[in-house]
Amino acid sequence: MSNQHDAALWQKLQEAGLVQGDMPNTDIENHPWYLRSLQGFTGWFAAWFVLASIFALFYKVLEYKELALVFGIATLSGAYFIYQKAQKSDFIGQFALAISLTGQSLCIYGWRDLLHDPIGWWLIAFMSACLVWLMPSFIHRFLSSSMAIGAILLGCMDWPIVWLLPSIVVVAMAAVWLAESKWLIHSDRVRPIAYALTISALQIHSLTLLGVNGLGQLVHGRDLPAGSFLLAVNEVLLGFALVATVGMLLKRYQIGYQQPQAWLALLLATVLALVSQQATGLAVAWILIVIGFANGHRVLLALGIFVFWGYLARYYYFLNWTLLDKSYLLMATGAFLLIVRQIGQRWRQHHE
Amino acid sequence: MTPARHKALIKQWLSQKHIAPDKTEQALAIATVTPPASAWFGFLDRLLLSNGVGLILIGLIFFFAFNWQEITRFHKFAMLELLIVGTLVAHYKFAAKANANYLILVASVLLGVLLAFYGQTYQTGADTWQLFAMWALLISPWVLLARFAALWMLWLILANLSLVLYYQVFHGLFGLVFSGTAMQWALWLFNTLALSIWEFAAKRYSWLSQSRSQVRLLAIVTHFNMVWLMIDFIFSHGFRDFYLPIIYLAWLAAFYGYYRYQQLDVFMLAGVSLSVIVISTAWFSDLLLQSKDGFALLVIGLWIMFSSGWAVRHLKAIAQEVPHE
Repeated sequence: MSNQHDAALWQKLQEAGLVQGDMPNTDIENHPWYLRSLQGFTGWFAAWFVLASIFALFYKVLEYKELALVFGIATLSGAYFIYQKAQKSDFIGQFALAISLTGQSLCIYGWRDLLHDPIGWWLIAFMSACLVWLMPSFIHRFLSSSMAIGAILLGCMDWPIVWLLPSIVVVAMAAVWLAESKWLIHSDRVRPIAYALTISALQIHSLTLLGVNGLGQLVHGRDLPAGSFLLAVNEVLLGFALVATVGMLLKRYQIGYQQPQAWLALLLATVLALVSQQATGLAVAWILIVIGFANGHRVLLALGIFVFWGYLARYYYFLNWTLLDKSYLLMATGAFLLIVRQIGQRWRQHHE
Repeated sequence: MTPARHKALIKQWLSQKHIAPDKTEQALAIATVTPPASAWFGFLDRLLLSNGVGLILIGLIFFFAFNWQEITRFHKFAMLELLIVGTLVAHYKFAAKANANYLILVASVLLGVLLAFYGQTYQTGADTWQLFAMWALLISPWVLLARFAALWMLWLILANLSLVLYYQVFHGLFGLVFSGTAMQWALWLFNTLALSIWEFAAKRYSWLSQSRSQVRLLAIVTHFNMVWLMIDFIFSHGFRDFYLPIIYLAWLAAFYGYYRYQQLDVFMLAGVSLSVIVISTAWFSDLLLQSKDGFALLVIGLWIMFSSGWAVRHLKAIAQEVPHE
């Protein structure tokens, strides 16, 4: 059945002059997201046991940091070798993943004294970036990318830019997904990074909801960097990111800004961006929803819908406005969306 | 065919140099991976409707939660009741429209707000579980008549909440009778029954089979309950619930058999695998870690690698039989 559908697609592309000749043999593996999640979670889980066993068995040796580092690099090299030898085997891949995570932990343990300074975290980010490039596994690349982003966040902890990282990561995520057609040929390497950016963007943005005081409690015993007022700038930047996303999609469909549907789309995005200044996070949810549909990406779309309701539930507990004012804002926004829908329907009927 | 497979095919043909890299965007458009401009109307229509109605509904909940003193309780009750009646009238008027059932969903949520407001105003002293149970009971006729999967999901969430809250209350009073596991047993039984009925009914009623997300959610809850019970059984070392492993294995076999051979769903099979990996790891940990030996940890780690590697390989082979997700 799949072959018939594949052939139909080939024919369509042929008619459009994009491909020539007979369809080559297709070798597409269905590897759904939940199997990848199962693989990643269990690999990570196994790594904890392996790591604990190494510490239990060799605790005297590992007291020497240099030895821990050498042992870690050797383990990582072993994992790389296993991946290279058995790229197609999930069974061996799972083994390599756990070995690699153990090796990474040993390396970090080796330079644990440096973690008091940003340099220790930048080293983790560098190591993770190298592993994203080298290890030929989706799960490994996803975990290493996530680790790199987390390490960059902690590496920036002494600088004011850390306050803007929530919006920077969301903008990076939107930019990567919007350029999917550019990197599709390299998607083995870039797709896990895009997913890691997505999950990290949501995690890091969620931290902003704690506010400056909440973050201060979270990193107790450590001074927060100057420029905490920048935390409030994130939502402004995210509002711009939502409008820019809509603008880029209009460009993709070659709809000029002077056309009425472009005006309506940009007006809608601008109003939603403004609402998100108060009901924080909704801009992130709408960016995910719009990109998810635009890229035919159901997982991203579902994630966007899920976080939309999550952010709304979180909004209930924000204390900066009364529940009454918040209710007015939400009801007015809801009514506005329904009016825009009505205008859209009228416009469509008029043009059909 | 799903956009995911189309995308994978285009990626493969790009790698094989059958498609020029600068034509990728065009190829994705032809394969309808990137939706045509006309598809955006339908999508935005649904998005604006669901988000618009959702925001108004949440706004209403916030409004009544504020408990504004300047409006009398009579007016507040009147407003809520009028909203419910208005929503039902609107449903009657637009019954022929595809999205009319959302109005019943709105009315069902508003009924809960009305019940909460009633409890808040008159300080009835009722337990919270009674609010959710009453809410579920009162919307039951709408749920039965509306033929709307989302409404059934709301009903199931309310029933689950009332069960959890019920056991939280009675655990304190009759701690000996209602232990922590009693709640998990009740939830497992209820959700397993709900899942079985849903799957059975979905064969007959197409509106129940339009999406797999609801049954998957129910399955996650049943697995969670059973894994909780089994872990409690393993680490408590009590033989009070000696029959539990038998029930677990029988349930797991039935679950696997159904979703492998009757209604192929790899997500459900992945849930079975994860459940087995977690339970077996807990059992190994209990058995081996008593020796306080580092080697035991290595054995457990290797077991997780082995079992999960085997499970992923097995499930991936099965996944080739179903469309891309």
